[in-house]
Amino acid sequence: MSAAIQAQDLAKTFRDFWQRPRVEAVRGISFAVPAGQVFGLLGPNGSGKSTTIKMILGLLFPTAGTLEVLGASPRSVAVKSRIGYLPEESYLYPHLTPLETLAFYARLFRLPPAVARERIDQLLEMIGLAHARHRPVGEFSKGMARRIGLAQALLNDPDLVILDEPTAGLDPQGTRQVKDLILALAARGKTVLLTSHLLADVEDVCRQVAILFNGRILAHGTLDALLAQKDKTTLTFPTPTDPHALRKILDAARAALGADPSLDHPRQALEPYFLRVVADADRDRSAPASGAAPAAPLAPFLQK
Amino acid sequence: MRAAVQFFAIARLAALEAIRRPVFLLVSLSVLAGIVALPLLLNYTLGDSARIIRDSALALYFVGGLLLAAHAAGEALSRELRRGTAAAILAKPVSRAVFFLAKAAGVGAAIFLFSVAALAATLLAVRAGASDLRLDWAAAVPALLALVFALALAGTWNHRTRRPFTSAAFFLLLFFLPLAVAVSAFFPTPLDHLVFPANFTWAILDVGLLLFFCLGMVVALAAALATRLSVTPVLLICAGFFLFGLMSDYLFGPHLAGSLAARAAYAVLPNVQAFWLLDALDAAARIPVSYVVLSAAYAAAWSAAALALGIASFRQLEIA
Repeated sequence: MSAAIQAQDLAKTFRDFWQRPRVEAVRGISFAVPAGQVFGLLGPNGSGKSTTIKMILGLLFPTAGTLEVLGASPRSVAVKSRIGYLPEESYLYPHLTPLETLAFYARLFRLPPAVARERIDQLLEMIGLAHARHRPVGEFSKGMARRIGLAQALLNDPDLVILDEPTAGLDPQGTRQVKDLILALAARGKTVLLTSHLLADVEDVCRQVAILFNGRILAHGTLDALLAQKDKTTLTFPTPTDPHALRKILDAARAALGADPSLDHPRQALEPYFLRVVADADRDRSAPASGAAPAAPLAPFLQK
Repeated sequence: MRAAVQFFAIARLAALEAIRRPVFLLVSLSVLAGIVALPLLLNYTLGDSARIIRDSALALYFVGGLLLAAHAAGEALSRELRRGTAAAILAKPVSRAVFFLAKAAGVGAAIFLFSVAALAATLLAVRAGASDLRLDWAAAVPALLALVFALALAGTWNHRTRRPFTSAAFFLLLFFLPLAVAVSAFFPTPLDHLVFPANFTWAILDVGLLLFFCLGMVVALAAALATRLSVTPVLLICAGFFLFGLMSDYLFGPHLAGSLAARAAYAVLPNVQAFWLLDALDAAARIPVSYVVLSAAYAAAWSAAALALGIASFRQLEIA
C-alpha cells in the first residue's frame, strides 16, 4: 500500500534570535501514513505532534530528515489543493458569517462558484449550522466555531485530511458526528491523520497510531497489534435464567484453567447512551435551537 | 488567473479587516473631524487662514494616513501570524507571495478609501475657510452633516443588524463626504460668487494624490517589516523612516558628493519632500502631469523594492 505521508529521520529544532538551538521539538522520527487509512498521532502536550503536522503542511521547515506528502514536497502549493486541514484552534475571522467564511475558503481552493455554493450549503447542513449561516462566527461557542473549521477543511473534498484535535470543544453529538465522518472518509479511500488527547476517540476511529513523547516515537503500529492482550480471553454470552448455570460455568472454567476467572456484566459505553437520551429529548422539543442543530447526514458531495 | 482569484479574495478580506478594526475608525474619524473643524477654529484668526487651513488639513491627512498605513499593514500580517489565520490560509493552495502581496494590496485599498474621504473633507474645509472672516456655510454645513449622518446611520444599522459599527461608519463617511462635496458644488462662494468648478480648489487633489503615493510606500515598508516584527516596532520604524525621508534633502543633500554613506542613505530613504508640494498650490498652479507620473513611478519602484524584500523574508518565515 502506498504512503500518503512518508517521514524519514524527521527533526525540527527551534532556534532563538541568535540562531542558537532553543527547543528540539522533533528528534529524528520516521513513520508512514498508509493511503486510505485513519492514522492517529498521539502524545502529551509538547510531544511534537503539532510541530510534525505543521511540517507536513509546509508551515514549518524540517531541520533534518525528509518528508513527502502525497508524493510531493510539503512546500508544494499544488499538493495543498488535495489536503484539508482543521487547526487545533478554530482560526476564523470573527466578523465573517459561516457563509462568508466558507465562500472565502472556496475562492482559495478556486472552486467554481456553482460548485462552491452547492458544497457550502451541504456542509452547513451537515455541521448543523445552516440556521446560523448569517451570524458572525465571533458570536459562536467554541464547539460551533470548531464545526465551521471542520467544514472549511472538507470544502475541497480532500484526499488527505489532517485534523488537529478534531473533537476538542465539541459536545458528544458533535464528537460522534466527527468520528462517523472520519470513518466515512476512510471508507471512501481518503487518508485521515489526526491528533487527539481523547484516547477513546482515537481508539474508535484509528487503525494505526504513533505515540510521541519528547519529540520521539515511542510506539508505532496498528491498534490491534498494540492493544491486544493475548494472555487474556473474553467470553460473552446471554445472562442465563438458571441462577445455578453461572456457578457451573465458573467451576468448569476454574477446573480447566486452574485460575479464578472474573465474572461481570458488560457495560454499554456512555457515548451511545447519552446520544440516545438526547435524541429522545430532541424529538419532544418544540422550540428551535440557538446553538448547533443535531447531527445531520454526511454532505452528499462527500458520499460520492 | 487562478492566483488572481485568491489574490482578490485575500486582498478584499484584508481591506475589510483593516477597516473593521476600531483603531481604523478612531484615527479616520479624528482626522476627518479635525479637518472639518479647521475652518471653524481658524477662520477668524488674523490673515492667511485659508493657507493654514489647507496646510493643516493636508498635514492631518498625511500623518493620520501614515499611522493607519503602518498600523493596518503591520496588523494585517503580524496579527494574523499570531492569531493563526495566516497558518489556516497558507495550509490551502495559496503561495506565500500571493498571500503577502494580497495583504499589502488590501491595506493599500483601505488607505485609498481613507484618502478619498480625507481629501473630500479637505476640499470642503478649504472652501469653507477660503475667505478670512467669512465662513462659507455652503461647504461647512454639508461637511458637518456628513459626519453626523454617517455616525447616526451606522449606529442605527448596528443596532438593527448587529453588524460591525466601525466598518459601517467608515463606509458611510466615504459616501456622505463626497456627497457633501457634490451638494456644496451647487452653491456659489459667498464673497466672489464663484460657481462650479471654480468654487473648489481642485489642485488640492493633485497634492493629495502625491501624498497617497507616499502612503503606498508606507504600506509596502510596513508589510515587509511585519513579516518579522510586531506592530509597535513596525509603527516606530515607519515613522522614523518617513521623518528622516522628509528631512533627507537637508540631512544628506550637502554630503552627497563626498560621502558614500550619505549617498546610500539618500537613495534608500524615501524622499518625502518630493510628495509634499504645497508650494505649488501657493502659486495657484496645477502640478504637471509629468511630475505626477514621475512621482508615481518613483513610489512604485520604491514600494516594489520593499515588497520584494518582504516576499523574500516571508518565504523563509516559519509559521508556528
